[in-house]
Amino acid sequence: MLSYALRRLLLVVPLLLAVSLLVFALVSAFPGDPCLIKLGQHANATSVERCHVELGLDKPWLERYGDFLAGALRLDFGRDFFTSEDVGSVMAKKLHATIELAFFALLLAWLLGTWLGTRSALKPGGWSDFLGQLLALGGTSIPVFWLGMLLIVLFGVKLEWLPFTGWTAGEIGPGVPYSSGFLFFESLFRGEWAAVSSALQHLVLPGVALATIPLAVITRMTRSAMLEELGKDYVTTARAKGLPERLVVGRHVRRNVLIPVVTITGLQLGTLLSGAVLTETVFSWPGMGTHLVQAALQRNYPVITAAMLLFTVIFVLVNLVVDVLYHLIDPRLRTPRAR
Amino acid sequence: MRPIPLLLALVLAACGDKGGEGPSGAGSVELEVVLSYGAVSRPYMPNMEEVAKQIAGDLEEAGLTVDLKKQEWGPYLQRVRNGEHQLALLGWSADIPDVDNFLYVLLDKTQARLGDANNISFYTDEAVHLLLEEARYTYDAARREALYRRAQAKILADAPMVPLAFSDRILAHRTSVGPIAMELITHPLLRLATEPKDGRIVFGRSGDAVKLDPAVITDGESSNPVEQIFDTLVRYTPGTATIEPGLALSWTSNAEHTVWTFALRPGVTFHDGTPCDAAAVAHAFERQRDPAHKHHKGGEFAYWTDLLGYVERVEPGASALEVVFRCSRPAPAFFVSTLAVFSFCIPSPTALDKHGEAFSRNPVGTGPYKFVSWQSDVEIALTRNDSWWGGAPAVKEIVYRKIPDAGTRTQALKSGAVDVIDNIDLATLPQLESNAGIKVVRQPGMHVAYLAMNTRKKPFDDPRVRQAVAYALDKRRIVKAGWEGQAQPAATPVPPNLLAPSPDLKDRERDLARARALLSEALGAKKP
Repeated sequence: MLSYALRRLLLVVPLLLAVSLLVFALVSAFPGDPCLIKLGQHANATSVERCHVELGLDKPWLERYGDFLAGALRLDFGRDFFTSEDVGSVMAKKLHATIELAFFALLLAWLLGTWLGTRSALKPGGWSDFLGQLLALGGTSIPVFWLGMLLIVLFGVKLEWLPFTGWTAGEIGPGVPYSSGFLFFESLFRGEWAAVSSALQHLVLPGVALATIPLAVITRMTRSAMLEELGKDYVTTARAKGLPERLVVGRHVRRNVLIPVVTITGLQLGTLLSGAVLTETVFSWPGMGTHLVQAALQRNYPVITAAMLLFTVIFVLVNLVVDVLYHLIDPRLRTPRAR
Repeated sequence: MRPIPLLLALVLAACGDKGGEGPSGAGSVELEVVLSYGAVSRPYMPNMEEVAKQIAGDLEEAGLTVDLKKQEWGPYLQRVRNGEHQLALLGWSADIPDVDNFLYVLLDKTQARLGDANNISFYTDEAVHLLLEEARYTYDAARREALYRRAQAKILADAPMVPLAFSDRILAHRTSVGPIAMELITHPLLRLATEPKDGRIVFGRSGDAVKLDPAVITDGESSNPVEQIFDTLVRYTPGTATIEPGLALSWTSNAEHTVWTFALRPGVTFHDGTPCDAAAVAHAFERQRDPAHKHHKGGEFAYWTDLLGYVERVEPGASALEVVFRCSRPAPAFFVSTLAVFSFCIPSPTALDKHGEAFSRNPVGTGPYKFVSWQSDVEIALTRNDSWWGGAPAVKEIVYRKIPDAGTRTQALKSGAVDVIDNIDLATLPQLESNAGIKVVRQPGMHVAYLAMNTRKKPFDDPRVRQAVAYALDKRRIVKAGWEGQAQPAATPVPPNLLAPSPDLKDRERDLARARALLSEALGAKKP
């Protein structure tokens, strides 16, 4: 198991090399000069040339790629073309904000989704089935920016119950010396209860908006997997031997249902972590999604490349975790592969 | 989104929507032209797409076939400055409230160099060039104005471009804060707000600053806080384009206008306690001018070359409160006005020594507000400078918060999460205007939106074709479509608050018959 995980991790290295080469090549082939975007109406031959030299864009493509690789090995992803800030440390903070939002959205989606999915499979045609279907349909078809705006207008402006902007250290925990972008987890860790409560309030609206997408997927997957498992022979056997329904579902069926649900959840997590662009934009969330989109529009090469590499790592890790979870859920997979 | 679709999305974003609407092909296609525009919203033209469609419609009525070509902003800018377009939409936001900053920049032949052209009509008329050059060095206001009027008449006749509109600068704030006024060139001067006394104003805006070092920035989100933190030698009287003393109390020049002496305000100190004397002021300018200066780093100093390239040296004068500018040729008539541009704010030399390039994230000036903190892409906090030379501001704290979505910004203002917003979605204006707790502030802006016709490319090398285009356009309809009516149709490229249009300068009214006649004349003449 451990060696399997290690082997999988080692595979990341050639994958990252390939992705970095591909991204670097693509990004350099983009039309549009970052210096022209940066200098705007004051771009002139002299200033553009100076800008090229300053950003290293006067060098040949391969040389730049070499420099990038040398830096990346030391986890130095260079300076942002526009703000001159260290790309890595800025991205770390963005990732923290994205992780917190994704964590809450997924937690909500997982809890509600598996519960609703199970219930609607057990009582098809009941109210929970109806609600589940409705949420699943809504979650996949309602654009999240529209839902987000609706939540803002209702709960933020009309009722004034919840905040919808201001995920900032100064708003969440004034005076708390945050050292990371994890405003919720760090407040919790430091025992700053006022900040924890404020952070939770700030998380509700974006969390709910973002949760609708994985919620729909998880509910539907749980329901169909559950229906499939309930029709199997072992369920009939368990019921025939007089096992209470609670145990049939809780002990036997749910374990088997979890496998496809965990897979789909893993994929959803990957999606959420690589940036919920629309949710982040609507709720002014300082996360990865908006960061990458802005970088792409500005031709901020170092940021684009570093972000793509980060997403690759995230996807590989999430998939690895999902595989490890399989082994924990399904004992059959634990037996050695060699006969 | 998984990596592969994301990559695809990036590629698509890079290539932009090149689809556009091709020519219909049917009918009597006399002439097919391509109208290029950017997929972007700019302060001078919030909805380029609508403007492009409206113009295409107008031109097709005159018998032209128009192929719309939409491109992402970066590549678009590169294309038009390289002169690869036929017709292109663009605009200009003034750096200095001066006619020169419009006519010379947009239509002088020296600005028509392929690659970095601002004159993207590539209009190289010699008579106009001579008039504009002469006006630059004419210090008598009335004579200068007369020269500009002559240049304008010639430009209107030649029609290298069609000026479209002067859009309003709009801002909305809660009535519990203020007063906050729109200025002609600078951002709102928050030092003038009296409410909330000793309180805080939260400014919600679409983007974050790039840097806070005045010498290297080029964007509005950066210059907004910079204008509150720093002072310039001279400044605009609030609400006007007139110059008044800032860090300099008075100024004189020699008869040739090559040596200018500024007398500094005594007793001014930077936020870090460094005295703001002649040495500090000279340091600020020399840093930008001299590529060998130890603080000439971290940017392109594009404004210096563009606006003060003729200054040879800036040095302390006879006393500690006297600064001397020495120029290689007579300084233009708008020289002093140039010094009010945010790029020429005076930074603390001590802080530059202390922070080096990191000064751009730790700005120290002499202004009414002091820098407190900056969380990238989130917010910038300022606090008032109690010992500001102009008297401490009433409002204690200013927070600039990034709220990228225009709809969320509007809602944030309505809920009170922020007190001021700009870059307002024009469609939500009526909603804001009807809200009793919110005040909408308007000011005709110092910018112009125009349709450039590339005179290097056929058929726009023929003035008759250009005039035909000018006759074909219905500016009122264009303003309605592209600006939701929040703009004035433009007869000339110069905003009326800089140079009132002279009565004898008549803009072309829409005249389709005349447009068609000019076109067939031009095309007929071309046929063998």
